[in-house]
Amino acid sequence: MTMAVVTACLLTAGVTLAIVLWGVNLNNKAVNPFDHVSDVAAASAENDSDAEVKMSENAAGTNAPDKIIIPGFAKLTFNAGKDEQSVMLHNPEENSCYFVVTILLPNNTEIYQSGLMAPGSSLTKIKLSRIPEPGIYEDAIIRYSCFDLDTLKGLNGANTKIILEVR
Amino acid sequence: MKKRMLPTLLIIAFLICTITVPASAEGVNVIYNYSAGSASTYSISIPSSVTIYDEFGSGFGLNATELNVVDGYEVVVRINEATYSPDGIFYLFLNGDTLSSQKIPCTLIRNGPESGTQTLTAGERAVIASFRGTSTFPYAWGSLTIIPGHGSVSGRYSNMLYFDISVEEI
Repeated sequence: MTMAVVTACLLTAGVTLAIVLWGVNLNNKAVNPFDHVSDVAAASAENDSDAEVKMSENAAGTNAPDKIIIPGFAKLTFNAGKDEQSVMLHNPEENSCYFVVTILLPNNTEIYQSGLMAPGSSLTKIKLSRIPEPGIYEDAIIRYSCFDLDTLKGLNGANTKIILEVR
Repeated sequence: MKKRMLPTLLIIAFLICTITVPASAEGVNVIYNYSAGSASTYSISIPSSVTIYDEFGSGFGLNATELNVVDGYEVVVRINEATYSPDGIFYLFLNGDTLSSQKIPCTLIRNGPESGTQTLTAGERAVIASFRGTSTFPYAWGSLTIIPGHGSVSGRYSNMLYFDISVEEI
């Protein structure tokens, strides 16, 4: 009787432990899939001297600029004290450029930078480089730096202001 | 009796570990820090590049591809202040080299069908387009024209334009 109860308890505990570890492993697999190209983005960012308002010596022609769709939202919430966070950052598939997404606190402290994000790709889990203190950060920034798909030249970009709540 | 104590204690310990019991029966305090406007989402289309062919300049329009802005709020687009040089002028630089002394000053002008035309000045943080509700067309302003001045050396001049986009209370 005693052995049976002890065995049952150990089995149950083992199964519970296995489920927990399985869940942790799944979360780890969702971390930024673009890390392997972040060096390319950094190199490109340092060499963005070409473009994006250009004055040409050529004869007059039509001016129909390619568009970059910048997705935005008003608020982002992070869990306090954790470097892994859930987000929904994406580069719309209609775009013909890479994104590098940077999250900045209002004092310009960088807390996250993605690798190159191809059109149609998204990030749902990110790992912060700095963990912000709990609080509400008005005027935090998500910066979208844009790069040509072929040449990695810098294109025009945008800062989207958000309310970042860390709780 | 002693034989039954160990399994009983193990079962009790297991139950304590696996079952969460409320500390009291007084209820749970539900907290939701709601910020009006925080549910707004948008997709704004900006130009990846603009080419200027003559002294009359070139312009481009800003529009939204998706918009869902809460009542009482609007999405506004401005020129980021870092776009301007420290002297408050937007320059195009020879070969895009921002350290080059060869540069062409430009005038930035905002336009809108019902808003008119106005020259932008660094520091005033003027809105160049605003969007409300679910309409993908600008509510106010909506386009920017860049008119180049003169330089002294022929060549290809360029610079980057950065935009600030935010959801703000009307």
